Amino acid sequence: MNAQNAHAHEDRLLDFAYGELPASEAHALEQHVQGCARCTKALADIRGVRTTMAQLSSEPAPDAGLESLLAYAQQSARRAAAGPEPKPSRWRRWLLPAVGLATVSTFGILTLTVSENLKLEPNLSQKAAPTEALAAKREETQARLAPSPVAAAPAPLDLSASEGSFDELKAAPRRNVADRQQAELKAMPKGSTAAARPSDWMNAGGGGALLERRRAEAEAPRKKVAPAVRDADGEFAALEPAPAPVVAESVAPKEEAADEDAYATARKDARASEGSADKAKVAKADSLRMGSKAYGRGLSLDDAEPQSMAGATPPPPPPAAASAPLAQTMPSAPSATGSIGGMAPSTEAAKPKPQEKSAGAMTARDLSAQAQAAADQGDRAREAQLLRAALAAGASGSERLALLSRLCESESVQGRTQEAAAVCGQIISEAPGSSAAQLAQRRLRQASPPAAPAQAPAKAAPSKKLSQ
Amino acid sequence: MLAFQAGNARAFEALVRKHRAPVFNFILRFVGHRARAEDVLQETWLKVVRSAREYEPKARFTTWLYTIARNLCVDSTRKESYRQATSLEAPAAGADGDEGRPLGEGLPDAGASPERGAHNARIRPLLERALAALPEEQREVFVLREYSGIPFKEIAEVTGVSENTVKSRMRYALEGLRRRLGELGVDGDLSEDGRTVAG
Repeated sequence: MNAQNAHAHEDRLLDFAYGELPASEAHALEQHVQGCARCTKALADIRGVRTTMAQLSSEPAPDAGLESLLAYAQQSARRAAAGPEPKPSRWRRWLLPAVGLATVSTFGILTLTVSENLKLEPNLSQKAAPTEALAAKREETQARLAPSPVAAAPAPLDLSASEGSFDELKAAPRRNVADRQQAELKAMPKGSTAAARPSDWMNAGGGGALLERRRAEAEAPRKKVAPAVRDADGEFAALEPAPAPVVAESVAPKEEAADEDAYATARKDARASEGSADKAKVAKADSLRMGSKAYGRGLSLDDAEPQSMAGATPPPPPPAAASAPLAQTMPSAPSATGSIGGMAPSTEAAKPKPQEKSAGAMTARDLSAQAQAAADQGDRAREAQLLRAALAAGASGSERLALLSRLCESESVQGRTQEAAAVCGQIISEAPGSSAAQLAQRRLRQASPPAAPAQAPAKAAPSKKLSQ
Repeated sequence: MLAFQAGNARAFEALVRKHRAPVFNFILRFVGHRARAEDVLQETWLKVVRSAREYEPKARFTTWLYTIARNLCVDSTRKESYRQATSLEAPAAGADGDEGRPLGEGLPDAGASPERGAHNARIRPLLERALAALPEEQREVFVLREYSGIPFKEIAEVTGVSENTVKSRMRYALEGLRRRLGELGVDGDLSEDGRTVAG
């Protein structure tokens, strides 16, 4: 038996000693051991050591840490029962940033889309809405042009004034009106400028549906206030937004009470105008001035206008005495302007205007004619009274000069030297060097001693008060 | 173990009750130090819980369990050797307590009769000393086979060597114990009353 066979035999003895050898092999080995002294001794040695070492009893395991171990195992078992975690945690780790990124990108895309739509909307509405608004305004314009041909005339004038050719218009009185409108816009209180601002920046930004709506809303009161301006605005809306409509938008709806003064002034100016052909233009231009009138209310005109007009050339201040009778003689004006809030009275408000203007002019003329009739009849006192009334009615320019001249003559003929001196002195002071002034000077010389003419200008001041 | 993998904590408790003492004895006889043996035992079972998902029923649970315990024992022994700790045969470092005494002197024997207890108290240190005198690889094979009842084939898996190597180490361990026990005057023949026939 070589060494390898010996080790193999000993390994079999080990298996036999520890009971790991199959039963058949164990039986065969047992028979061999009985006939082999060496194998018998080897097996006895193994069994002897095992028997001795078997006396070494096993140690009981400590209880320390057992409860905590079982609790830990229970917790782990719960987690295991709940399901596998690592894969979902990895998924969640990527899912959360992915969802966040998707949300942010979606929000960004939505924002861009909305902003683009907002930008596009005005362009679309600009194309569509102005055509509709233009058609509606043209209809209104035509409807109003028919009863009042005066309103059609000023439209191109105002359009040219508001389209930016201000240098050309500087010399014209209408330019003053346009400047005053701009000055009024500057001098307006914050609330009204805030109301006007949206129109401005909406115009600058290309407008939009909101712009069209606001413009339509602002259109109604504007139309009620001044038909001429309304007509001009109709043209503006058709062409391009301009500062003039903005002023009308911002001022007209707010200052209803102030419009009464504006109307009174407009009527008064219209009556004082020289040519009937220019009446419509003057009425239109002065009706645009109502903003400044409104802001100047409560102050004297001389005080109010420099504040509100901000450097615009001030028109000659109308006589206050003339406006008072006018306000009395035209009681329908406040009611007409007072109905600015609604759409229905707009036509009613537009109609009285030309009638009032012509009525005011006819009154001055009537008074003049009646004075002439009284003079013809020899009633100089009545003539003088009627002439004064005619002057108070708001006559201006050459008509006023003629009336003053007639009054001077009448007073001289009556022998009322003091009154004659005052009236004649007023003529001399108002139109020095004119034929009327020379005539007045002559009458003064005839009626009074040589010292009188020197006093005449000094006496003209109270007479001015009389005319005012 | 499969039941515990499925979330049954009771199954784990049953495993602990069944294998706790044999594993502890293996660890104690491997590391030769009670306190360290208790720590290694706790670590072993904690690792069983943590590694429960990795367990595959290709091998027996005991094989997997003793593999874990053995690896932890090896790590603990290495750490201890670095610290130049006392071995099982080293004299007591402290004045009293189990920590300073050799393993053979500190092991109690509960549940035995007074005579048996007296015998054990006399012979036990000799047996422990003979066992501790074995090389680590022979000792672990002997302990696993003799006290834990692990077959040679599974011991080969636990230790990571061939079965023939395991049997060879077993032969050397038995030969070394027989020689050491003879030197200590302890033979394998016990009298009926528990007395040993010392040479």
